Amino acid sequence: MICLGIESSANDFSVGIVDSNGHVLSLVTSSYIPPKGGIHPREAARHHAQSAPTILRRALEEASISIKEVDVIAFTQGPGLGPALRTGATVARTLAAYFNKPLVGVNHCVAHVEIGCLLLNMKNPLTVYVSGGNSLITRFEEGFFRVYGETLDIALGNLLDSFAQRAGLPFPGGPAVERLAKRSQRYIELPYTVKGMDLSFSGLLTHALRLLKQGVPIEDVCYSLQETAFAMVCEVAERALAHTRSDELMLTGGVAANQRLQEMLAAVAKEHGARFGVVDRRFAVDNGAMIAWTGLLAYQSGAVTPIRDSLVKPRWRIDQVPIPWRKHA
Amino acid sequence: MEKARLIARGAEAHIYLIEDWHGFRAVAKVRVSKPYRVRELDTIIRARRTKLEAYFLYKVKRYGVPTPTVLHVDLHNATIIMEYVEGILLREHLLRTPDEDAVEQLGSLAALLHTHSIVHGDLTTSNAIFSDEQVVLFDFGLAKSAVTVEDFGVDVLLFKRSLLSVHFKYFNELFEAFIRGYQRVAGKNRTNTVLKKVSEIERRGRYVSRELR
Repeated sequence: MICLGIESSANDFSVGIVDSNGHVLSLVTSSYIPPKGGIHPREAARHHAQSAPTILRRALEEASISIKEVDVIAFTQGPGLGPALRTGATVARTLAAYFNKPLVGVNHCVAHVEIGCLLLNMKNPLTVYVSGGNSLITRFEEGFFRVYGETLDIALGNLLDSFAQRAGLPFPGGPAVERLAKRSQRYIELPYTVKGMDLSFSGLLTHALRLLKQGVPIEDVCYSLQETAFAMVCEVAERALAHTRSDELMLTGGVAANQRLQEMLAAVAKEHGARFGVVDRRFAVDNGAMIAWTGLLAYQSGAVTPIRDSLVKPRWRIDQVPIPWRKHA
Repeated sequence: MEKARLIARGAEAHIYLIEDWHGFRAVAKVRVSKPYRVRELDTIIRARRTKLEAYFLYKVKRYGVPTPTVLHVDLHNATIIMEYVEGILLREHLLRTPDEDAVEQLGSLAALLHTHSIVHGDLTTSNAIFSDEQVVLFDFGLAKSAVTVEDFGVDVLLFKRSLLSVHFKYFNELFEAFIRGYQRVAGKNRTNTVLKKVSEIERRGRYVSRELR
């Protein structure tokens, strides 16, 4: 069985084709990079609409199949930016209706976890999912993914990007901050905000920018920013690990590429005797393959999304999605 | 700390049992150094939380909140030696029986703290001991003085979330019991104000479904 997945929740329009053995037949992505500032939802949507035909064609070509051989069409139904999601959903509905294929709406966050499990051969990890739009720590338990901790304001990737942008660093912000941080060893205290199991990064951003304005070398600010933010993530991850007694810890999302964060979470996992895995960058960032794979899992367990129920859900929480393909723990 | 025996390993601290600490049966709570954290930050966090915890464990007693008695504080080693409280974690107790009465007690304790301008900061069923039909509160490492409804709301929301993640089968009964206990101490008006804030914070949260907004 073959599933074609469309991801369009933020600035990437991506199509992935996956078969039921878990082989990724193709993955093609076009990224909208804002010329200045952050992602404007309308501009992202415009980019997606313009790239859709080319990206779809290239994904099919790379997989060496025709659309007729595809059994299921999956798309990101949420969460994400409304206009961007709607563009992908429209493409998916059109394909499903025109070629008479079943349609499956997929939760973006669930998809990140599922593709990670497939690639890292994990069963039920505690997942640290940190990207530009999401920061949460989650694990499947009794029918649903439970959220053990999440950001109360901005996402971790958003913190790094916003800081980089206002500090005049090149896009993407995360790698730029990481490069500079490697040049410093001087830690300056920044607000460390853990509320129970939840995180808050906005005060950290304000304070880091203030240090910069005061003339503190940018390397030291980047170093301190990373150390503080990542220590917060690690603390919550560690508590969730102790709480769930999970024997697997997975790191995914765009920020997963950060080596310092990998190193720190690896130490957390080691201390609790859990196997640690980082999802490969291609599949840790937003991608159509994860949507295709999760759509396939859902379809095989009987889920379909009729067109009338296929409206996008920009605020669809991971803990509200029924997961029929996972056995109750 | 001779004859100390490790009895629990939390994410943040190790708990040792000391059978005879100058005649007391005591536990030592040692906030351990985290290898993944930069040393400066590690030292700041451990010392700060030890200090806060010792301060609030002592302070809240005068408001009628049962806590283990602090016997000794060693900031340098991020260690608090306190009275050993006989009993089981409220979490374990509730997993055995969804005891509404115990949760109602906890609700009253939370309200007692709040009416004295203190928030616990990590109100979960893992941070209370069920001892002789009484709930004893501990783990004040994230506690702080607070006056805004926002702070109280976050405290209640944290508890709500912990119920949802561990005791989800009996969430409705248990959360109602908590509110009952809270209201008994804080009164109807104050409780409603806090609950309104809780739903406001929830709505503010990321990706809350439209039905709740």
